[in-house]
Amino acid sequence: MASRSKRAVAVAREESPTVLWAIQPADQSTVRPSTDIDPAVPLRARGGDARAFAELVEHFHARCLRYARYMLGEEEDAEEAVQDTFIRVYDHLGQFRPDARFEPWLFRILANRCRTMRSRRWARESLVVTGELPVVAAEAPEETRDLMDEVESALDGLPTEQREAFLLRHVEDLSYEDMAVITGVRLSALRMRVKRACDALRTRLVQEQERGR
Amino acid sequence: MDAERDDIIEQAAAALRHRQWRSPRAIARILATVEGRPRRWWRAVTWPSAPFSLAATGSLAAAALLLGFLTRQATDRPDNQRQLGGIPAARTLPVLPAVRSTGEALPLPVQFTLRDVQASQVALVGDFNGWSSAATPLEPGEVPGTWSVTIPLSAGRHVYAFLVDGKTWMTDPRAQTARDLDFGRANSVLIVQAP
Repeated sequence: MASRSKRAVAVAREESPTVLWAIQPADQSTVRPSTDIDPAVPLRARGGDARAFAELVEHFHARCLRYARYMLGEEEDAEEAVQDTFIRVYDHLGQFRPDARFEPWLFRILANRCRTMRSRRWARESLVVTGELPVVAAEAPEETRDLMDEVESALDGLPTEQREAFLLRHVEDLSYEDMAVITGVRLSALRMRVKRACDALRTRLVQEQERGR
Repeated sequence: MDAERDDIIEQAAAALRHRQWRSPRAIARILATVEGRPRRWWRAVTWPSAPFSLAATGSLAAAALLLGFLTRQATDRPDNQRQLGGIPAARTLPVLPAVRSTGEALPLPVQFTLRDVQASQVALVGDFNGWSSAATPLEPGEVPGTWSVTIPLSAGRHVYAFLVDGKTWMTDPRAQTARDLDFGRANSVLIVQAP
């Protein structure tokens, strides 16, 4: 993961025509956070260990918030979806099977919460959301923020199903098997969604890049 | 690198991963919410750090059963008794979903049965016991391959399944099934109706 980032920067300096930006990570954890958690932790939480549940929340909260933010667009909605998710996890930990993996189980709940939140939001689309933004974005250089805005804008243009598939596959780094558990969609359909999302993003970003030259 | 990943996609994904949202207050809010959440009675039973005591749960179930029987004796009308046909009301119905409770707060004994000749142990898991695989084991019957347990259930909708040999999740063939959207598994549904 570290070598990939360095490679991206190095390639950018050589002005390869396929490289759009050089992302300089603030630290390794912001590039590809570790997705693993000791399988004993969810089991301890399932057994009633409050500290283990807190550990689960601490470990997965930032990733869940990022996924929800990209799916929902609004920070307040994202935070609400994530909070609902963890409360639902707490209430249903008894259903979590000891031989199952926690990550896809969690993301399945989160993905459902996001879908519910999206449909609810359409019903109140005319309302203006105001108030405190409780979320603190990590520091990033000015030029990187511009690039991220461009990518986010391209992501926003994708149909919801493609955006969901792209985020799970390429941002959360999940396997297609895990994605099938999370979305309830067949592997072949998921692969097609990811391919279409990649094609659309690639086209849009190259166009943006050419427009900026 | 697989076919769908090229430098553009890699960098777009890296840009998206790069943006992190941290919210210590949101984490604190979640933990405070669950801490103040009322614990259901089965959690008190299934979540102790000490070894699980079947004897204690058995006593509780026996007391609830006795209370349910006494109340039924005192309050049931004859037509109601005919409809229920005795204790294993759920067993005598063609489909499990509806049995009648005799009082709003009082549980009704419900018998769950399964036939599986290959099973060496069977547990009843459901929302009424916190989906605990240890709380409600089925006892083998006199006929080989039959398993049953009777527990008190309050009025309302209950979702459950059988866990065979600690690993195979089975719905009740006599009951309606429902699939949980979040968890993806099929479960059985039992509705205990208040009069």
